[in-house]
Amino acid sequence: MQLHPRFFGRNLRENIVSKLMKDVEGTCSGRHGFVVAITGIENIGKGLIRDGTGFVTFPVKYQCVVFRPFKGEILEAVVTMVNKVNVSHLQQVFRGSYFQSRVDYCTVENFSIYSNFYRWDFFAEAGPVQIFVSNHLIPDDMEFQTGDMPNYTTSDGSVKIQKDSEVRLKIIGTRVDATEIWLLCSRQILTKSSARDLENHEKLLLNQHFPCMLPSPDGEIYYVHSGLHGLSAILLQLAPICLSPGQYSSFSCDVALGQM
Amino acid sequence: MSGEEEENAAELKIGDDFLKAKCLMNCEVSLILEHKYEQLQQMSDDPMNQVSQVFEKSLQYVKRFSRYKNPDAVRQVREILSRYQLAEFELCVLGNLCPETVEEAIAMVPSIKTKGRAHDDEAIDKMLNDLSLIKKFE
Repeated sequence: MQLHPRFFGRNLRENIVSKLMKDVEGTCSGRHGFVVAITGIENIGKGLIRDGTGFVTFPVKYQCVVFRPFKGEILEAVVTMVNKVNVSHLQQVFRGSYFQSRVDYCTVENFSIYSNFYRWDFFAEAGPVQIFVSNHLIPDDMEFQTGDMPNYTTSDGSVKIQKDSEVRLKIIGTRVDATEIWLLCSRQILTKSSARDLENHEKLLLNQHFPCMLPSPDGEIYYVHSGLHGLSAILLQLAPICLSPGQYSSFSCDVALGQM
Repeated sequence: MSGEEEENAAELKIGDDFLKAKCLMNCEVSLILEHKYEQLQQMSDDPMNQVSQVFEKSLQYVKRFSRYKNPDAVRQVREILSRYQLAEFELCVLGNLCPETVEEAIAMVPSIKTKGRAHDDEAIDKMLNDLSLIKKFE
């Protein structure tokens, strides 16, 4: 922590702490995630005067609350937008990353279905983290509905994903920018239970876009090998998951974090 | 970035830093942030101006997804879960998502079932039962 000489004096400690909070809170690093709040100062070491400037550097040890999503973690998020995305924009965003091959693949694959290079996807956020869920990661039996409130609905209408819905998703990948973390999500939804019948765990099957998916004979375990994207094999256990009535859908998906 | 590729929460590969760190459940973070927010409120009239966007969003998020609002319940949840030799990270995922069945719990935290760990279905079931009791009596 570097400090200008004007902060020295009897309030030195307070000044160091307030500068630390100002500089560190709200920042994000790839290794530690978002620094949400500083909760305590462990110690402040001896200052070291920088040659030629008069600035003094103090080593400060502090505790803080950080938010760091992990690949493979399941967490809950709020849907912020169900929207159409210009694929060529996505290509720009992901250029140079290994997601590019995925986006390129989607473009070619869907060209006949989605004209104008638009696809419907949805965005969600979990605290400061932006999550991007691609159309491919949404289960097959969820249909997209246009209108004032664009949403995804299951065939029996019991589950709807729209703005402000709460969803459960699994993070498949993250990418770190200088100030933001990008999460990439690769696929799909686990299960849901209908609002009326809690006992009826309806399994949402993964979609067929990726021919490399192999459902196991009992239909509960899927072996996903998305070789196209350089991702290694992922084993998803899609056991019946009981959720609070109608409130949540649970998914695993490719998630992109960051402002689009 | 080689460390990044190894990361997989399902196998509890979350990096040394975070294995050692204390992991907090949403409900605990909510208590901490609200406390801090109240402190700021006393110091200035317009606390929302003082806090970063990250703080604000995190506070909203944890408030929305806290399963337990009452500080005593939050303490109990941690106490009960810590009896089961869980890693910090596993403890928090279970506390956050509150699975209702054993299958659900294993799907969410596959690492509790990996070999060498002493969790059979019965133990997990008991743990989930204890959790739902707290919720009920909160």
